Amino acid sequence: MKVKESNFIKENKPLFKALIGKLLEKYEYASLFAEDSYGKTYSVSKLGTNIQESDLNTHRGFVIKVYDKGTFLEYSDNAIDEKRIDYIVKTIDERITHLYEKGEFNKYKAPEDETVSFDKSADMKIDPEEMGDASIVEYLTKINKGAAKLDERVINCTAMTAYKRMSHLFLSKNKDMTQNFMWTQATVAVYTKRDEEVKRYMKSASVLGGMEVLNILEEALPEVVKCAVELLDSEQIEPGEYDCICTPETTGMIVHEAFGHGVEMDMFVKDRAEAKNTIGEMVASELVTMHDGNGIDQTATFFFDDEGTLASDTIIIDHGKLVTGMCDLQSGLALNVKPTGNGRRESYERKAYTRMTNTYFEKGTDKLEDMIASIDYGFMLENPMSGMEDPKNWGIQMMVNVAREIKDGKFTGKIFSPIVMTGYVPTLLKSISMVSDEAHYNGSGYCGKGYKEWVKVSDGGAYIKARIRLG
Amino acid sequence: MDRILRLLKECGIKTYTVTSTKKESVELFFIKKNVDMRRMNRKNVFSITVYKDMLEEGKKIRGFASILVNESDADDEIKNRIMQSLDSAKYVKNPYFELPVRELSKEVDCCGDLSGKSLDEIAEEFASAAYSADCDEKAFINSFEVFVTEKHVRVVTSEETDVSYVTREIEGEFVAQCKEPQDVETYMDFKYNFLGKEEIKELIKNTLQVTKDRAKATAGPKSGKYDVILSDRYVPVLLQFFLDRANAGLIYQGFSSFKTGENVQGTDVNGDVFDITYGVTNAFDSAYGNKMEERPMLEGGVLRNIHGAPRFSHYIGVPKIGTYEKVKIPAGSMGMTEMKNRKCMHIVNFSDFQMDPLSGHFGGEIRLAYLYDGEGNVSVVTGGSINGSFLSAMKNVRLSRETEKLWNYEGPKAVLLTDISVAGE
Repeated sequence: MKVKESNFIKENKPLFKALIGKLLEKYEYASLFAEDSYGKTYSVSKLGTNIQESDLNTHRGFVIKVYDKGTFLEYSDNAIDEKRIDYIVKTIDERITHLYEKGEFNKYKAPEDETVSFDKSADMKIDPEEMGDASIVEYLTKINKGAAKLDERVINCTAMTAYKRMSHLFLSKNKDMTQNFMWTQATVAVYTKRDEEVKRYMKSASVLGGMEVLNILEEALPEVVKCAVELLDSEQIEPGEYDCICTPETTGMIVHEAFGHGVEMDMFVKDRAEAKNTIGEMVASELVTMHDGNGIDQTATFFFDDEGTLASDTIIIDHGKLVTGMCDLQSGLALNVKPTGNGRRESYERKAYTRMTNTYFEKGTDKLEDMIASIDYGFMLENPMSGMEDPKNWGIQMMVNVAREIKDGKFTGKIFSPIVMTGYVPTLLKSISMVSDEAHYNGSGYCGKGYKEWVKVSDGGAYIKARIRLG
Repeated sequence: MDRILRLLKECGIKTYTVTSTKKESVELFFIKKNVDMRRMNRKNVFSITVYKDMLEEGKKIRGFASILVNESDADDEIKNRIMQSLDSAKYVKNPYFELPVRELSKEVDCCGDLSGKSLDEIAEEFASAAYSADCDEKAFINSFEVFVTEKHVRVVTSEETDVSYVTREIEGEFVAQCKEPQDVETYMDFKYNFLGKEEIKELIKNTLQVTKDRAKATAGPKSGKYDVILSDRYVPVLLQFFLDRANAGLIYQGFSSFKTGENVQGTDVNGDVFDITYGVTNAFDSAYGNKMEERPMLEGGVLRNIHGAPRFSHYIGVPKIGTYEKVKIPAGSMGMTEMKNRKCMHIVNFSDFQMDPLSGHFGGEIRLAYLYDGEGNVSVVTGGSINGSFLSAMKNVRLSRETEKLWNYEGPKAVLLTDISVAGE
């Protein structure tokens, strides 16, 4: 079934068109991005049951972008009616255009505004609203109670799911586009405790769609409980450089945090990314091909971005060679390149930046068992926890929950936790010597720009074998 | 608010909490010294939680569900969603708890010296002050973002609470860059609830210096155990451990074994003993309307008060004092110069410093550290990482005599941790 359209957008579209029309009488370019997003989160844990609309994912409002004598300005609001149209135009004319007038301004040429018009909706299988709160809570409660039955050392289990239904409208002089999407994610996290130290292991999955993803929790639970209990005997690793196999989720974090942020082209505009100087050069092993965009259906798949640019499947690294970055509208104007559909906002309230979407390494030809067998001494790195970008200097900081020891091509059963991965991005990517023939993607996380501007992304890809510094 | 209360009444809702937030912000974005974008943002929203009391197997239970509503939404839609949330609350079968009762107050002005000026003027004045510090010959501001926000918050509950307050804040981030001898950058964010012109100038000056030092750093630290000094913004991140572990939610789940009256730092302490006070950031709790006031958290390492949401406070049987975000700690007894007299590593910039309150582990990749050899010599290092456990480290922490004031922390500017694992070359 198709994701349903938004009444807010449908009913207010004539007002939005009138607003854009008034602005176009005065300004060379004006666009409007309206959003009606509804996000609901369910969780069952020792804290009890919780059902709530999510602050991060529930938004209803619009943002106007105006091009004024070579500069851009924006106004966002969550109320629109006939009277407010004049008020908004006046606020832009008399207030925002005069903000920091004494300053020097970056000057841009006016955006191109190709004629595009459509109204599209993505598919979903199980509508959360039809499934209903009772069934969702009942399922999560079963997972929550099931964990303790599997092992008495479990002190808590959080079973949660969240979905976001979103409708977007983009209007400019020549564009009139509407899109409706839904993503859903599900997570199970199991907690154990050694003295005062709490250990946790989690597994999550996501789809561009509805509650069809929920079944993953039941399948994942025994493995998650086993790993959380194993963590009770984990040790601190001896710092050093090791042969490692990264699971697809850890590969995803490397793709996203270590490399992806460095090819966001607003960083090129600011002279903040080393990648700007290495376009056309080998930055990774020939085994590596990296994509961003709508090449897969995941939580960051859409038809057009938040600036009205059509989405695309961008090949960032082609067999080790850096081909291009990803780009938003304003950065495209600054760099004189075509935007790639990566202009994204946390919500209508926030500015658009260049942001990743679905970012991943293509799968290769190696069998996972051959990759493990090829390690004399090293680790399987799994359950990534966090990472931070360093586009300028390509430093790596990532934390993973588990390093699983491999000796003579076999797991020893010993695990180390937590692990800090560090190093230099091109060195790590060039050290990739094997890539698995299977790939997995996950969009259960959010990506920040620095420490703010959270947007939904997905990442992943294949298992990779690389040389990595661990501590 | 009156309309929302009327709609709740029409829906027959007896127990509720409503928070109204009217927000306006002015935002400036710079690349180098040039303005790249100007923005304004307005919104008016309500967060509504409805509660439903039920009996199950003879026990009183209280379900609840929350919705977010725009001021411009139609009455019928809001009523429909209120009724949906009441239906959702039926499936939330949590043990009964009491909401905080009766707190009344006219709007409290928490804007300090940010009152009396327009948001536009504040943004312009603050940005000008920041750029007046961008005068180093080698290092410079690469990019700068400032958000000046005013929020009028009103909390009304069915338990006779009706309080409101207004806040103004300046927050944002900047990146400092130095191109020679290596091209490097430092990311920094800031948040002030006062017109922190001198503070932003000092922050920029220090960040430019750190960036210049990082440009000279080429070697990484050797792997091993180090005495480590953490300072400035990393101190509250580390000490967030206490704020999290003293939260009723973590205690209720069994993640934290903190108990009031017990020494949570341990008895065999060789470093400074912690005295920590809960600090106030807003006049009232934004969800339930509790009056927020300074209270002791730790006295001599002994836990005095547990904070958190009223539900969990009720479950574990402690007073409902609200959820706190800020801590205040008295100055320590050791000067930072004395700290640096020993062989140690002062880490002044991480790519991302993290503290996990559940495991007690902290760590991060080192972007710049000063290595003191204990004989008066200092060198700079970059790269590698630290990975430590605060559960063991907290017994030997030394707190600096020098202090700092941040939006969520007032206390020692630096801490000295001993025997911390560093992964390096």
